[in-house]
Amino acid sequence: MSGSTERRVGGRAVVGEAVGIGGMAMSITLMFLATRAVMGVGGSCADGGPYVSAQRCPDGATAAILIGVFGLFLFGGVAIAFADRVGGIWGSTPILAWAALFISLGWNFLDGGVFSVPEGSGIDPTGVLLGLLFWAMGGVPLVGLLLAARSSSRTAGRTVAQPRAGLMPSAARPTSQVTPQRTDPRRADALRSIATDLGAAVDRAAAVTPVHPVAAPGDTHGSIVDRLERLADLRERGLLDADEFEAAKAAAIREEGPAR
Amino acid sequence: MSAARVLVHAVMVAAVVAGVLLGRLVFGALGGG
Repeated sequence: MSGSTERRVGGRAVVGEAVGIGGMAMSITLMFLATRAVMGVGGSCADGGPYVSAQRCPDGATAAILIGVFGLFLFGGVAIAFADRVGGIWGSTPILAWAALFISLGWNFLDGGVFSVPEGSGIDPTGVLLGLLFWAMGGVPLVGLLLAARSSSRTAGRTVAQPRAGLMPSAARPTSQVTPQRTDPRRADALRSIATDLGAAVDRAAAVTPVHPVAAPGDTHGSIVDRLERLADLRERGLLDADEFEAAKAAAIREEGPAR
Repeated sequence: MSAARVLVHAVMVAAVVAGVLLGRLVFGALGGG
């Protein structure tokens, strides 16, 4: 994520994404607290209906889970709508929310099965198993996302890649993502060397086989013109950028001068 | 990382923190906690 690879992000997109992500955080928190409360009364409960429940749900748990579930969909939709424009790791909203939900709920299972067990009872293997399973479900995609972000930031300095725009498809996403941008000094040296060799070869060929003269009699600048034309052709084809073209041109002119 | 990108990260982290606090507040208002 270097400066040269970043596009401008509009303020409206940032606010929209913040509302979506904040709402998702609220929804996940509600579900986390509600399931934690349910775990505190034994892990199951029931409310309403014609029967008398053996274990009523803790206050607020049912409403919190309902709000959490529907809120996650609602604010998730808002966040996804703006994710593409914000880009970066925040553009991968679904993975972040997935990881937050499963890791937080997994902690509830682990806590209930290992750390907050009633006195006299041992570790609850079901809680441990569910906790680890939920952590794996949330953690694996999160690790993958972080590795992808790291890889993206490493390659960002070498290319003009469009910002990673999350997971959502977008008609606005460009089809071509990589364009040479920075001039590698070693590459520039190699190109100068190629230009020099090319010029020398052209000169030798012109001297040995004057079958296809490249210039009219009396024109002593035929080879340099040819070389410059070739360089211009390379420039037009995008194989040389402006800096490389100027460097190669200067080298060709410099080497051509004393020879004539 | 540009200043604009840092600002985006700061806004998103603040949104997450605000969302968590709001979730606790709502849960308390519903009678939980």
